[in-house]
Amino acid sequence: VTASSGSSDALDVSPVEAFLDAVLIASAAAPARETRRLLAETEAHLRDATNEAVERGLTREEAERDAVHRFGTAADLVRAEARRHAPSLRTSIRPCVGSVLLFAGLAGIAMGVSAVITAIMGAIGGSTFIVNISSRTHLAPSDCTRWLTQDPSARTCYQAALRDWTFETVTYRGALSILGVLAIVAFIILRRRWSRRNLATALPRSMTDAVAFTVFGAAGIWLVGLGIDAIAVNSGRAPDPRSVPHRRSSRSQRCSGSVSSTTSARPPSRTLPRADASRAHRSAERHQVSVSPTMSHRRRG
Amino acid sequence: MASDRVKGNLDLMVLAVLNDGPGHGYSVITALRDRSGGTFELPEGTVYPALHRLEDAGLLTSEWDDESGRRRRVYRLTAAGARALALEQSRWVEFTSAVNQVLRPVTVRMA
Repeated sequence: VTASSGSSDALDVSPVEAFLDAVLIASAAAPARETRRLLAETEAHLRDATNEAVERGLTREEAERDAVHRFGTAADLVRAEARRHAPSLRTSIRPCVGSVLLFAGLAGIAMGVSAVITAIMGAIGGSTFIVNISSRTHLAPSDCTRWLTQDPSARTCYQAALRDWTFETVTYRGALSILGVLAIVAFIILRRRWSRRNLATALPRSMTDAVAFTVFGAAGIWLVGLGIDAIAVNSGRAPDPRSVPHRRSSRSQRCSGSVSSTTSARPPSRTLPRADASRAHRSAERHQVSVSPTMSHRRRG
Repeated sequence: MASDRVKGNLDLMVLAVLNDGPGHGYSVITALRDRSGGTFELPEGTVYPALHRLEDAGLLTSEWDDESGRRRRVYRLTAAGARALALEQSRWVEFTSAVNQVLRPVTVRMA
């Protein structure tokens, strides 16, 4: 916005200046470049119209008022411009699709990193370092048969279950990481295609930030709640060695034991350190505790 | 109602004005007023969203002109704009011809 016209006092705001101010204020939500362009065009138009009216014999202030009056209201002008910028449904959906692909990709890659870490932990500490067995879940004989068939080197159902679940824990996460990489690749391709068409995002940046902050804040609160719940529920409990699965003379016999993966909602017992729990499992195997034939499994491998 | 009719055909009239040569917003609205004999009295600001809309559609191009001492955006018809103008002109002639046929008083000849 340039200086006011000649007849206006430096402290007064001329009708043209006041109108330009109104356009600027009403254009707060519009793209900055578009606003600057609209202001420049509006000012040039009003100056031309003012000069023409002065040539017709009006005073400059009267001429400015006449020019502003004939131009229309600032609100109508900005509203008409805003309709031009209103995003189409396709333009609105594209940023959402891009965001979903990006977050899914990042989540998948995070799972892949977790698979690598899990595999390293398993190599160092063994399967029990990844999958823990508690006293609440029971293994069905059909599962035992399947696990022992898949892993002939396993001596017990417990050992076969541990290996099977460890394998699944790593491979499933690895598979998710592949999907994550594919999602990231799709995101990059689509973003390049869409950016070439100069498509703007549908939502104002402040709204995008507010939505992201709210979603991640809610997710954080939810995860903290889960953690507190897990601590409260499992506080004071430990695996009962007497109920841990044990070596079988025949694979067709029922197996019993409770297995919980580190990926399950409830974390392993915190009463006994993991090393102690593992020793308890091995002790139970050595003693071959008998199992009730009526026990049913709660979780399938 | 007259104002609505003008607004509904503003894009076509803007293209027609710029078909005679490049111009900025003020010259376009002045030409509209002059060529209509003062009949079309629109709020002058309405021409700018129309110009921007037509430019978005690829029917116009524009560039800044600083030579006159005041910065103005000068608009120019594109080839696509010229084709669109020709098409819309033929449709308009066809439409107005049909309307005129309807509005013309029917003379009933008595046998």
